[in-house]
Amino acid sequence: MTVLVLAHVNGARLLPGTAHLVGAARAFDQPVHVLVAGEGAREAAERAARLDGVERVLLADDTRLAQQLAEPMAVLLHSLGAGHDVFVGGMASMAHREILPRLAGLLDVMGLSDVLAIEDASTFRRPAYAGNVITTVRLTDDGPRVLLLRENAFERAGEERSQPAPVEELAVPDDLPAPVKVLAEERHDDTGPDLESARIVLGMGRGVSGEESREMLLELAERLNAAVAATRMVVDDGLAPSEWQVGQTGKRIAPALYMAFGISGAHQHLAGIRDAELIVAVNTDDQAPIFRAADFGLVMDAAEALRLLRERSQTK
Amino acid sequence: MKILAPVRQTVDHNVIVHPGPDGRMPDVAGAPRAINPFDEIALEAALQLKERGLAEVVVAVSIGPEAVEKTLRTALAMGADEAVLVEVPDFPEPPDAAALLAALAQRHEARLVLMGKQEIDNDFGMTAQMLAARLGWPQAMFAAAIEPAGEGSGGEEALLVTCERETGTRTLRVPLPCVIAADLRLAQPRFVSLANMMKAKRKPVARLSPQELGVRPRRRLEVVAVEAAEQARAATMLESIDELVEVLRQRGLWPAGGEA
Repeated sequence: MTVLVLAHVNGARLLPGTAHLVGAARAFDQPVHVLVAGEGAREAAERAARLDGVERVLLADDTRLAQQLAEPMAVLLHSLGAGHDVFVGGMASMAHREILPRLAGLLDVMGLSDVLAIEDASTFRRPAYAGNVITTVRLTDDGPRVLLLRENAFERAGEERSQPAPVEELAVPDDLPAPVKVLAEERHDDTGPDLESARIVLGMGRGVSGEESREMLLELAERLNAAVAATRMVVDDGLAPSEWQVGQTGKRIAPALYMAFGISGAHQHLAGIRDAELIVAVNTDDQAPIFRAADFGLVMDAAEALRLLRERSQTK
Repeated sequence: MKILAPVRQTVDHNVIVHPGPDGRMPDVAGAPRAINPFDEIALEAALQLKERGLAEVVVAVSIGPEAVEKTLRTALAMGADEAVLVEVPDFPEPPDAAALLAALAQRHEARLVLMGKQEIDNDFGMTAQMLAARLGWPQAMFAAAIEPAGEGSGGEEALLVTCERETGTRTLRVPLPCVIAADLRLAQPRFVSLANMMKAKRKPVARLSPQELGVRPRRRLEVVAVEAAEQARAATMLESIDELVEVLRQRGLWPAGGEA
């Protein structure tokens, strides 16, 4: 029995989530293989080979895998199926969320998403109902496991090993399907840190969605090297791009600090910030539910608070 | 082109759910139920494709206990042409939902299945991909926009689907038949008028059993325990911005003195 971890890669880069997936995979107490699939991904494979606990790295280098599209990726994983009983990917990658359930479909097994803990080879903890409850669930079939983990719920594997694991180049099957073509990619001009990996995140609620307070929030975010999040209402109102949306129907984040400005604390939003280490809320309404979900609260006009914080960050 | 639009019934998203007694799943029997918000967006997108002349028929389908008929009535009131209820005592897990939907897509000769990216009770987010795998169709997940692509060189039909990514969007050329899973921005569900709701009550809802679709649903997942997510934090209330800055500074979360 072996565990196959699908690496997070972007071109030649190995993304940090991979170390968390490898760290988690060791819970199975079985050899851990890492699949690095992409085009020109050897460098990423060599990085993966330095992660503690990796027995072998499989490198699939092929132009059809460059975009991490689900159709060829799922077939590739399926072709590696024999000998691998557990397939592990991560929630932080939208590609993984496309690929692994498709693999589960090819294997005709139940997959699990949002896994927070691995109790044993069949038993896992995951949230349901927008994070209001945490369930412990058991897969009752024997077949292969297909799991999407919440990376930040697991310790990352170290990179201190003296001897890297062997990297084995795979012969990619000729008949990989590639029906979907990527015609264009559009990056949002967002120079700040990535919302899902930022150490500090500032949250924009309706209370600060006006143009002036929005500017102050963005400026403060820049000073603190913070990413910006928004509530569903702000996104629905067209005042923030949907990639900023944090909550049940948006992203789930786990920064060291989340500062909620003018956010009332609808449970839709709280579902996305639960894992933050420290939550600070600023709101004019002292009864706002956000204060029951925060560690520190300040009853104040959020725009005024932003103005003062910006001032303090300049002078100190 | 015929579009299959699965509409899952879920607990209304405004309901706050608590664990049941003795660590069981929440008792949601009496809670208000509604169409899964992402499926509602997908259905709206399907209706818009029809209104633009890109599809002829939209078939709404719901799988679950008898009570999901209400959700199908909502789908009819929104403008779905036909409604199909696959009656099973419990909401199926994603592999069975995918198997039932695959059989329905084939039975109706649908060229497009347009559904939500996830269901807001279990939050599995897997059914669309499993369905696409089962049918051997391409998939476009996290869709934010759909446009016709015109005919390809081989005469194959395709759609241009703009999909959400971590740092932006990407536009895919997806040949038909395919499965598209809706994200939030794809469409804004229309308001359902009372008159349309009344009219929808008189429209037929076709009923099928899983057996008729050649699927025998079974559980592959057992819930061992359920607990409330960690207890609410009770905020320590601060009096001023300076107190707040101090709290952050102590934790190394505020730019150190001397820095700009």
